[in-house]
Amino acid sequence: MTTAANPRTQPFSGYHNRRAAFAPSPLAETGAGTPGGEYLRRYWHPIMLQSELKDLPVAIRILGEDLVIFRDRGGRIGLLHKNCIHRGASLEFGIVQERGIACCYHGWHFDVDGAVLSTPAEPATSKISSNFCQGAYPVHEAHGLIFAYMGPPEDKPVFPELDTFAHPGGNELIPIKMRLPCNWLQVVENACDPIHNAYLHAIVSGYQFSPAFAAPPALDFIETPLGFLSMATRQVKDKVFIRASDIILPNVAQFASGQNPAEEECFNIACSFTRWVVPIDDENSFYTGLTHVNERTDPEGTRDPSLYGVDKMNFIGQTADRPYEERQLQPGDYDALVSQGAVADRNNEHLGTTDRGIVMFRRMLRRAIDAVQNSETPELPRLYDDGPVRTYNYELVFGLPSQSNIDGLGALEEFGRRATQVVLDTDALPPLERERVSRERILRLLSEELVR
Amino acid sequence: MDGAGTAAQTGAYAGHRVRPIAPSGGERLTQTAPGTPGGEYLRRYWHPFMLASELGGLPVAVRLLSEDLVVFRDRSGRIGLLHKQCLHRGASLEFGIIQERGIACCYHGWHFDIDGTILATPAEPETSRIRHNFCQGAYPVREACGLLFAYLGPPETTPAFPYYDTFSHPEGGVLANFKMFYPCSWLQICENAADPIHNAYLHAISSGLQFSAPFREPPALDYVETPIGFLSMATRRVGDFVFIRSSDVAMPNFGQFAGGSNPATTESFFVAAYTTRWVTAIDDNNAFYIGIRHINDRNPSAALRSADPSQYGVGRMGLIGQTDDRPYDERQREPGDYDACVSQGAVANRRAEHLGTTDRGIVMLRRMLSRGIDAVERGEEPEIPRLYRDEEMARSYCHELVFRVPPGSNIGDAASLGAFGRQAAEIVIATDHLSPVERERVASERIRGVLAGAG
Repeated sequence: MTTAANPRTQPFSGYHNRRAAFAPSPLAETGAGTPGGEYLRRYWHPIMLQSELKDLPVAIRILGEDLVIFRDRGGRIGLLHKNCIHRGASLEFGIVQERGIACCYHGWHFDVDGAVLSTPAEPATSKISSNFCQGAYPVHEAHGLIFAYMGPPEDKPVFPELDTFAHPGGNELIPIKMRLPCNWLQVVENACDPIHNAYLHAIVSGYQFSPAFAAPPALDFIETPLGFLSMATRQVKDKVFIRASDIILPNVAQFASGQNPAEEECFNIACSFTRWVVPIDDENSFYTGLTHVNERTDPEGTRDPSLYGVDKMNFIGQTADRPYEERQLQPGDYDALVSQGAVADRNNEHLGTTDRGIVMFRRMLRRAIDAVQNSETPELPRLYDDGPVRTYNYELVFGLPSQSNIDGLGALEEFGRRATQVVLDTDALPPLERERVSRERILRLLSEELVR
Repeated sequence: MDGAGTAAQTGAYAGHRVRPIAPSGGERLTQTAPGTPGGEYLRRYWHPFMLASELGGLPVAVRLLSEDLVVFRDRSGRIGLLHKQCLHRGASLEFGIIQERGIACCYHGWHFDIDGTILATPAEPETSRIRHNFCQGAYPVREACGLLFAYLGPPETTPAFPYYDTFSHPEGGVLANFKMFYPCSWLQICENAADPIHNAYLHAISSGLQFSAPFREPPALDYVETPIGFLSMATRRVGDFVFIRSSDVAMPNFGQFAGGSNPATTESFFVAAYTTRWVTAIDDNNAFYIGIRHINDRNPSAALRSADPSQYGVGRMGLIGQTDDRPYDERQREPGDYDACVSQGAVANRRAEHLGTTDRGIVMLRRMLSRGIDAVERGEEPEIPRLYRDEEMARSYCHELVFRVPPGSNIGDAASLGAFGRQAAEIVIATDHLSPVERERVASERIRGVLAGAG
């Protein structure tokens, strides 16, 4: 018996394999009032570098809203809706005052919290200043970044100070900000996809990461109280090498550098980079964050801070600012992400087993969006009310004992999972103590438990 | 408004709750395209669309009321204004070859007269009926005061060209033309002129003195109807003087203004304009601020009597802040009309506004425009201004006055200034049948009489 050949799998079957119509994903929405946008409005987002805010107001677009940010002459930062509530002139042309800002057009004067302080052209009896306000959002300055919270005031969380900001000792944080002309979600998904480090950053484009990344990894994705760890565990010669990145909902991540050659033993529950992907609108985003400079990430003390800042992060392939042909021959993250389209077309994907992190992230995101729609507090990450937030990013290179039974992806995966469980179990300890205790347990795992 | 309703509009850090309402789209007042109510209303009037000096030996592609057109002067000197795309297969006539009579399309030689008649289709057989059965869309053009005006409405309602009394004056002077491009709706620029309080803030308090120092004084505002629209008035007490600046806001998009540089330190009175301008809609999102500077010895401001005509032209009009051609940070520190108007958005979101008592002129302008749009939609002619039928002189009302306050008069509070301003405006309106020189003399006398009895 013969079966009719599937026309979609025949040679030259482009005609039968045309892409389905683009269907926008609700997960990628950022606008006010959309489910995705309202969820994003439950968290603090870094919107610019402190160094970008000088004496003049700056027009800025965040989560699809046109805003203006300024520092009043009293030193306080205001983040207001850009268009004056009176007749819509932009407050980027406003005159900064000792307290707040005055619209250039008719002098309506707003405090940093949006209160209408005066409407000087109106009669003294006018009730406008007591009946209306200019939309305003609170800001928080930390570590060289300015963060905004654009959700309901009654749901405002405390600012999450991550434990990595102060660990290890002497940590210096250098802010960066890059603009990407694509939706925030595909940038976040890139971090949930550790296998791309082997391909894009090692095999395809030459070594953007260290040669160790060319080794095939065991992948795993393990839930944490913040989201999950996006893990790759490799055997590199006689070493086992784990890179486990914090994926923190909705849009935060922490990474070790990609430069570890996995030749020397090391163990850090810390990171070299903390990043946020902040939606400008549905089709544009800021890749922004903090580069950690300390004795571990920069043992020689040679890091040049001038290589970091606005549109600078000292890693190849993060901008369009290379010749197109070079980008084609050695593409980087920017090229992979932006070329998915302004909003990646998830209706035409064909996901494989190495995409489990992408799927996990979308499920978590969906649950969190649904929770906000049901007027609940999203579970991940919980909203902290005290102390530094414990995070889980870690990097490990240990020698493999000669009697180790770790040979093959299955065994690598099991080791990675058990190492991660140790890092999770120790999160109540102070950072240095946590590292010491975890290190001992993982070494024991390696030398006593996972042996022949 | 009830208490609960107002409470929802206030509060510290209320950005999440008071986000601007989205524009509704399809606003009648800002529509410019053929077939839209707003666009059809605008098509009942003549609109200037370029300076005559811009038209050289080649056709020029222009966009007007959302229509793509081409304007050219044929070799016998007549101006044609045709739909840009050749009706044959759509090549643009900006690449057409100008003829003794009309223009020929570059692509297949179809030859059009300035009225759109097809004179020849040379590639077609001689028996072709095309030239009898079709035509290229064309509009009439009128050249006046250095400007080219077009009428894009139905031919049967073509009004006579309104030749305003300000365009020429027995005592002479120079007319200088200007044309400025604004990337925003025509209406928000017209609204700027219906809003005299912005002169105090934008042009005196916010940005330093773009206008003269008296504009810092809080004025009494008024809006007095005229046969062509209304006068947008600010009346101030400046030292020993009372100072009126009263601008024509004429429907749909015509305005006349005194200068902004009168120091109000000596007496003066003129019923005339320093600036005559139209805001011509390119399309819904773009406009030309185009018109005439009147430079003559009658202007009360010395600076304007001696203005240099070469300071005016395309992109030049001799007042700061009318373009984006300044460093962005300078525009932020000393914003001008361009920054205030354009930053409202390509089409200002009027659903997100919060109008106050000083916005009465805005409201009056919108109501008058709405009445005009409604009338045209009903198949009637708009009333204000009426469509002129004969080559008569059209009357305008712009005036500027600085009179010394008589001894014993305590005119100075908003109520007394407002009452005086309104009486002065009514006198200017009542004398519009007189010749310009006579009108100024008679009006001046009568207004002095009012001032002597005021306060």
